[in-house]
Amino acid sequence: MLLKHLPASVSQSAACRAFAAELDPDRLVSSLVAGSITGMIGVIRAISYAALIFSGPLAPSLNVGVGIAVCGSALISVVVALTSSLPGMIATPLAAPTVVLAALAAAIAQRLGPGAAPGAAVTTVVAAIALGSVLTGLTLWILGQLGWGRGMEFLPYPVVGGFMAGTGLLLVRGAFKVMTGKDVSLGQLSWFCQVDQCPRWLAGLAIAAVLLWATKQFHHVLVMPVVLAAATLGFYGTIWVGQTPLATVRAQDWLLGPFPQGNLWHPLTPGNLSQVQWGVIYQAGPTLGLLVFVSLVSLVLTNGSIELAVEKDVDLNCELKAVGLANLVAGLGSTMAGNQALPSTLLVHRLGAANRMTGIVKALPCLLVLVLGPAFLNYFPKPVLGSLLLFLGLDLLWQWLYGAWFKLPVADYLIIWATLLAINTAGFIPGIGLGLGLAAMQFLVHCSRLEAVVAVGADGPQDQPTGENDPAIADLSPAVAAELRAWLDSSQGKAVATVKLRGFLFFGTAKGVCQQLCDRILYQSPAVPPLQYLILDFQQVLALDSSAAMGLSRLAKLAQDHNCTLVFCQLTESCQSLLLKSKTLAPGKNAVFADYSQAVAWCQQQLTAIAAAGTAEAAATPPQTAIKSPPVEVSLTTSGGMP
Amino acid sequence: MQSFLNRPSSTSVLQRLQAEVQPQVWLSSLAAGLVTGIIGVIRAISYASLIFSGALAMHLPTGLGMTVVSTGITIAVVALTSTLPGIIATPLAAPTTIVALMAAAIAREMDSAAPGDMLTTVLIAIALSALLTGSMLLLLGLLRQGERIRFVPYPVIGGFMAGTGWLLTKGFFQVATDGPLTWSSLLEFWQPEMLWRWLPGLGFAIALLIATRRWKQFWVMPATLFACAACFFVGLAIADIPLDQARAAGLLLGPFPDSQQLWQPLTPTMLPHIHWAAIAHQTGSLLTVMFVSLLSLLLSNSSIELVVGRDLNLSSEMKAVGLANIASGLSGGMAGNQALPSTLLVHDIGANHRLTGLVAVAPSVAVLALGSSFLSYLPKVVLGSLLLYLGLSLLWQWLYQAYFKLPLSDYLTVWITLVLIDAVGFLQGVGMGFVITVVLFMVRYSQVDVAKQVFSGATSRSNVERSPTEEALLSQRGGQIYALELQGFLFFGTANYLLTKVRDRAIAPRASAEAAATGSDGAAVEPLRYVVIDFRQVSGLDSSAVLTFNKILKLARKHDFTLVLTNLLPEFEAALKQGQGLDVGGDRCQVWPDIDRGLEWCEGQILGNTAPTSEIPTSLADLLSNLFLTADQANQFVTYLKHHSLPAQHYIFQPGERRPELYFIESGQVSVLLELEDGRTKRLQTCSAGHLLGEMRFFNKPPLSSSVITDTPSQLYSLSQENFQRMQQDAPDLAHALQRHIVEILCESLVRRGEQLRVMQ
Repeated sequence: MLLKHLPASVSQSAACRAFAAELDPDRLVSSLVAGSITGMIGVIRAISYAALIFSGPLAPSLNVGVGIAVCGSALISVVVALTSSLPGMIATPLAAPTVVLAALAAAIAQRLGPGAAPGAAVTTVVAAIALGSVLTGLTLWILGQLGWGRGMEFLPYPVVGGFMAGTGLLLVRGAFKVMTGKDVSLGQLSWFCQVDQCPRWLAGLAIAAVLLWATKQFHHVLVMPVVLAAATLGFYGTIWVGQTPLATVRAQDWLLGPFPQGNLWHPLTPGNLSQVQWGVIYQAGPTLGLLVFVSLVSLVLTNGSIELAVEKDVDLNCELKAVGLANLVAGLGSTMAGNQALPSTLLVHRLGAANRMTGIVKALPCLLVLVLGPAFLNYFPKPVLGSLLLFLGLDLLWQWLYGAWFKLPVADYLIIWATLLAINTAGFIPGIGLGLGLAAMQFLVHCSRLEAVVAVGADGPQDQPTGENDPAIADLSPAVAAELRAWLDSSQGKAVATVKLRGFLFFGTAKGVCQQLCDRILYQSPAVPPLQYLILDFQQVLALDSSAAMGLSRLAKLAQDHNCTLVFCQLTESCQSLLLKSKTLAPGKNAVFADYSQAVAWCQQQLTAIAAAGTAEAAATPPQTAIKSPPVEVSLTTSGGMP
Repeated sequence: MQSFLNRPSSTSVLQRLQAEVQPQVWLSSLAAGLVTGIIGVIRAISYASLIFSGALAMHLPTGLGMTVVSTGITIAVVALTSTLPGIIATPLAAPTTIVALMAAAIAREMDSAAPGDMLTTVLIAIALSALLTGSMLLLLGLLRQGERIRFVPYPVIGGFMAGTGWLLTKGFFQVATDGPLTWSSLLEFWQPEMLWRWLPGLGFAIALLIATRRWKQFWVMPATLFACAACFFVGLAIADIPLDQARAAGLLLGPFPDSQQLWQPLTPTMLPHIHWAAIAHQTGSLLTVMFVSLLSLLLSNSSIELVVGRDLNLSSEMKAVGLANIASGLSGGMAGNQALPSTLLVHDIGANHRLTGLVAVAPSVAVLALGSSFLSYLPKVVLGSLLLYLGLSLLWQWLYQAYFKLPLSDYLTVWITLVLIDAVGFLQGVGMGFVITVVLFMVRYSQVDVAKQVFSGATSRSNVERSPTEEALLSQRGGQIYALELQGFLFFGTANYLLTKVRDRAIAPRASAEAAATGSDGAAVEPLRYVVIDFRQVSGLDSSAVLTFNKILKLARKHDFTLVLTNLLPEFEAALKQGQGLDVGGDRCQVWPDIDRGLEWCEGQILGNTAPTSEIPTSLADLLSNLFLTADQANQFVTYLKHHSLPAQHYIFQPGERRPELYFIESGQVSVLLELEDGRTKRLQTCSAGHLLGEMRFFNKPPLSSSVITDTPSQLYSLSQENFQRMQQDAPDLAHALQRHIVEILCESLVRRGEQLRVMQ
């Protein structure tokens, strides 16, 4: 029955066939193995994330958090396993959205304050998390349906780096909060160095270091679970050797809990809804928006990485719909949002278990935990939990602060640092905004530094020889070029100058270009005749914007005042329409040509006609131009300025 | 005395002075100066009321003196030092609002201190803001930093001017109706007793607009204003309303605060009364005033440039305004800046002389000396209509005419800037306008097609001569080569487009195979083996683009094709290596100096994959007999030729050499090159055994290339002009055959170029 509600990417019969194929014995076995391993890892991660979100004043309700995380993990895996376009795609709650949820929970708890009803804070947080999941699911699904996924790929690389590094640092801070109960900040460092606090986080740090080293050395699947299991055993071993009673250990806050009895999963029922403080959730609206945005960014980034890693093409819009649906289901079940998980998916593919069944099997350990109830949670050592979070955070920081130094130029590396600092002090949105602004400024500076005027050809004030180094001619065949050069060098030809423009003429370069062109018209060395024709070659111009168009219209007026005619060649249609709009080109009375040699030929015609007529009046119509627009007729009189 | 007057330099000075005191200059300057001076004074009074309110209200007279003095000094200094005669500078609204906030904050902080101390501290704070602004502007002007920061986008200027126009229009309604202009008050405006408050003003403004557009003389506007004032007073007389009643009804300006003992200059005796701590807390406001002044100057300068139609050197203007601010600060006044509306007015009247500025100081001096009582004879409607005239003309230009001049996105930017300036504030509005323009620019740039030319090896070949069998093979298999010529700046907006193109081409064979399998039509596409990317017209590469190349390299490993990069500048190569987008030592990546050589390598790989071309050494006679001669003729032909055995990299024709000799290649390889302006060479052709060189030079025509050079050790035979003439006499049939062969070669070359041109269109 579920199959009927799938997106149209899977037709009825194909799905049944695929389902049958999945139950093939050897595929089933590999699915079971891979599924249980990833399920186990997923459970541990879920518990860590729950500890991250439900910390501080919410810590007594950690069992609810664990229920949310684990149940969410199960629901999301199942839905994505069935609806994704890549068999073997694993989805879990991810680090970056979890960090945002932690901030959301902390804000709500703080707003409600200690005076509120005991259950109200927890119920409100649960409602906020569920609402966040629903919103994320809807947004992602709609984006996927509209096919707008590709739009998010326009994030600059340094901003992505800053985003990942910021997530890493926030994870590290969260880990310390889980292990010691306090948030790390510069002012509090001395508190962390006290003798009784040291062992708590040092233990976690040590385990995390071992994890980092081990995963880099042995690229094996089971490394992480083995190390964590060993750490837990080591912890209990130390307690047994020291003969410390368990109660003392619990009193010293080394273990999670104590938790109330009963189910882990606390879905929102209509009865609970009355306890929810909707006003507080509404105030935290921006954070919910941030959650959606961060989930979207994470999805886009992860999708790209998965594509590269498994070496198959994964349709982003299809994935958006799949993950959106998963989050919607998770939200309706009052659990947290999730996303594609790169490490687990890679793991599954390396184990050769790229089947949809793997995702479904992954849900089993989660359900097991739910069934067992919170009893086993009471025996979880905090350092082990914290070490996992610490490992994830340090890994990200290592990759993006250390590894990036060698791969990126200095300016981009500094953008990563700026984004990281902004994310940690001001929040995700200001941080990403700052990163985007810096990247945009870097791009603008690059663009405006490009020399837009390639050459001011033919006798500039320094009396250079004509045309030899004139790039306008260089692209033509040498025979034609030689002829043009010869004429431009002659005394008649010296009344014509060529300027080749290139790049994007925008507000950053417009003033400089127009200044240079104005100087070209105004300042002539006394030895040469006054300039009568200025040819502007637009062949290498990418586009114009309105500031450049206005500048060129001022140039046209100046040229008119000085008896110089502007000749345009190789204009694209969009440039031409923009110039018409800004009154640089008057409708119907322009010298616009399809290529450079035509323009020079026309100038030659005009000058010869003037010389031949001997008087100040000459009229000439140029040959029909070859631009796709209707041919532009030119009729000019040179008596006392342009009509 | 006589001789002194007769000296030529003094004559020209006299002539200039005489020109200056023409009646036209006098009258227009007088009119414009008085009008703008009165507007400046009235604005100064309103600024004083704004700043000295609340706790400081009792010090209003002193405040009045301070603002009027600032106005006078600013106008005077800028009129004398600016590069544009006729420019008017006064304190502006935006910085004054910030100063008002600063004063209020200081007053709150010093609640418990002595009242005299509060006043002193506020005055010193205001003077300090002026001094700091002035020094910063002067410094920037002296360091000629004006050139660096004059990049204001046109839509932002438009938004600024539209915003100014709207604020002026709003100001008119507030002056006329004595109340703010809001949505709720709009309804009240249509009631009869309110109507005649603003309707006459509107009428006068329209009269002004029409008059100044019809007759462009300097006396039109002052005459119209005078006529309006006269109408007003005549109307009062007819209605038999005494002046006092009119004043009470709000028809005349005023009432003005008691203005005795106005100017209080800064003296050293004030020093012990200043609470520096309070000022130090306002550092944020001081910095904001400086920043807003700089931004206002930038925008007004660009706007005034547009209006008067000539460029104003920003550095000089910064120096002028900086000096004015320093002077104002030293006399205890506040910061000022170029005033766009007043300068527009001066320009409309046509009084672009320095005298105008000097005359404009007069009303300020009059207020200081005589008190402000004389101002209360001025009718509000005249002043209001002036404001409305300025506002409407700006709005007309920038909201109506701009619609036809600007692309739609820029026009919307103007509207958004206007709305934000009105609703939120000057800084936010202008800032948003900048942001939108930058975003639009990046969007437009990302829509530029980065891949200027895209072609496959089937249609476009390298310039290497190939045998017919090789040509056939290449036309069949050439589709394996996918070539892209890139242009522009590769940044995060355009990088993905490149990746998508390569990816689509890479999976095209599979897609077409699937299409074929399901029975739909679609030509079979060759699998992709070589991707050639040319960087000749690429102006820059950023880190997102480097990442894209990394992804393309990974695609290359996955889909089994080789990446060939050509025309790479050294800095691009370094950036790609650093970001792992380039793998020089690996087998998936090749770097070549130009696209022709890159294509040659790819073709060589394709051909090399099939039957190897046999390199049987043949003699020239055999080659010639295969081409255009019989065996006997070939042997005879060879006797006219001279043998050369050349090493590699040897110039056969030096750059620019025009020696008329014909060369036949027996073995080896020769390249024909064209030198470009930046020292790079473009290879036009590569010739091997059996080919002909130098046919253009032989017939004394300018060659298409610049130099010909051997690639490998080669054996060549040359035919000189003398021998050719000897051959024509002794064995004309050989000469005929040779000429016919040359004609055939030229025709083939033309056909091939025509093909290339057709594909490139």
